Amino acid sequence: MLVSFQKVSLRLGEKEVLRDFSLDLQNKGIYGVIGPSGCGKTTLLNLIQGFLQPDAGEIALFSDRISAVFQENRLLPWYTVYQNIALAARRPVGREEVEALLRRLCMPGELDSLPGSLSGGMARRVALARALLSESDILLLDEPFKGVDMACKRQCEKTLQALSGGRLTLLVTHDPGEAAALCDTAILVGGSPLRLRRTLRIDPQSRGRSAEELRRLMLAE
Amino acid sequence: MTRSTTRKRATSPHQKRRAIASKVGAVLAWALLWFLAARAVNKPLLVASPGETLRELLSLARDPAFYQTVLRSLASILGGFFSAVAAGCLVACLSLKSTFLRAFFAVPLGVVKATPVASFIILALVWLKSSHLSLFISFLMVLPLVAGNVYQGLVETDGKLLEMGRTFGFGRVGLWRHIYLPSAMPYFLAACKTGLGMAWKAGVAAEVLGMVSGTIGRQLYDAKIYLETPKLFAWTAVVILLSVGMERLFSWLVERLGAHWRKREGR
Repeated sequence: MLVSFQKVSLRLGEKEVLRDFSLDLQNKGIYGVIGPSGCGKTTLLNLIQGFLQPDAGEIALFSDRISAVFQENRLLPWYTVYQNIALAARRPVGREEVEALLRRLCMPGELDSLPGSLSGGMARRVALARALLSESDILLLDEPFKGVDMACKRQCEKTLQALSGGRLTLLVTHDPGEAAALCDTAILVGGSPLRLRRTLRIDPQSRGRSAEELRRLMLAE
Repeated sequence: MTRSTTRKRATSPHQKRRAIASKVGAVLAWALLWFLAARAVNKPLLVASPGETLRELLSLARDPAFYQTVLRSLASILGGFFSAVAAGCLVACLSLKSTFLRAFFAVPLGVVKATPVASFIILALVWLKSSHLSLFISFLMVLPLVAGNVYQGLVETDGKLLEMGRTFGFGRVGLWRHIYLPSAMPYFLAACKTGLGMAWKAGVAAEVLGMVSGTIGRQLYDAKIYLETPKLFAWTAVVILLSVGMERLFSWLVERLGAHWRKREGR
């Protein structure tokens, strides 16, 4: 088991977020966690990263080498784009490597910019570059394309698919189209407290049909 | 890695020239008012004119003992200042790590902040040799300021950035180096800038009250006792010039260090 939630319960203030929640991820690949906004998807990522401790149950991880795109960009405002990415890489990375990756994310020539001078979409792509370049076994992505314009999004998705290989990737999204375009498996969650509704294997040959099915399932829920 | 500690508003050369001209104009206007006041009073024992003060300053500058006096005061006061900066940072870091230590340090720091500097000078005269007086008083005045400010900066470090650092495996040293310290840096620099002025004023006051020989404070005291008002004004001008000079030097150093680190880490 690579990531396992065993009967996890969590209460945040008055709200019961999880009750006996279980989930096992056995293979590497991209998993899309899909559900309506505010249902607790991000909470699952926070539990994996240890920011929250469950009230009951157990979370097991096969590795603690994690990289992430958080709900917010969380870039260090006093460091340049290059410094932000290099610092989180867990290995020495040169400017050329970072520049090449940024180019693949439609963002050339911003290595020496400070995060404060970037637009929301650009800062998001820096956060994505930081997570992709970091040597990690688990990649957690919380709506990684938020604020990225449509023209760049497709290219960013391709880059993500190319560079996430060999890792267990959890992609949190409320967009069935995004999940179907990127993921190997879709995990539908919802309800309060959060429940696992269904898992769906995405057929790489017919991602469009998978997107339709995911949309239908979400509406049915 | 470095951080951008200050971001200046872009100014054109014309705007710069105008700003400098305004400053010089303001100083000249106040000098003129001073001149007119001295003339109206017409008693050099009460108010020395700008001319008399300048003459006295030039005469002081020709005397090698003047530089020794300035250096002695500077060394003591800066010694107190830098010791307080180091101790203040240590106190702030320890306070962040332990609730008990935070409460423990809060008591003396609160007392120091609330007590008039004159009380400490008189007490210190009982406890210490007068030659250590200004060092001790500068230390005492700057310590609570630096400790309080740096602690505030550390406490206000963005928790979400710390979470990010932990996820990416920064480690304890990395979290301090890349997140805590840059977050606290503006608070630290503000404390240093204010503290420098405070140390200088309190240190000279201690030298005056303690009649510490061979110091600026002693010169001020003697000038007052012997009714040498132009000398009193001249030494006061020296104190002001040194205070402004140190503040400028500090700002320049911060900027240079920032530029150096940016260059070094820019790779």
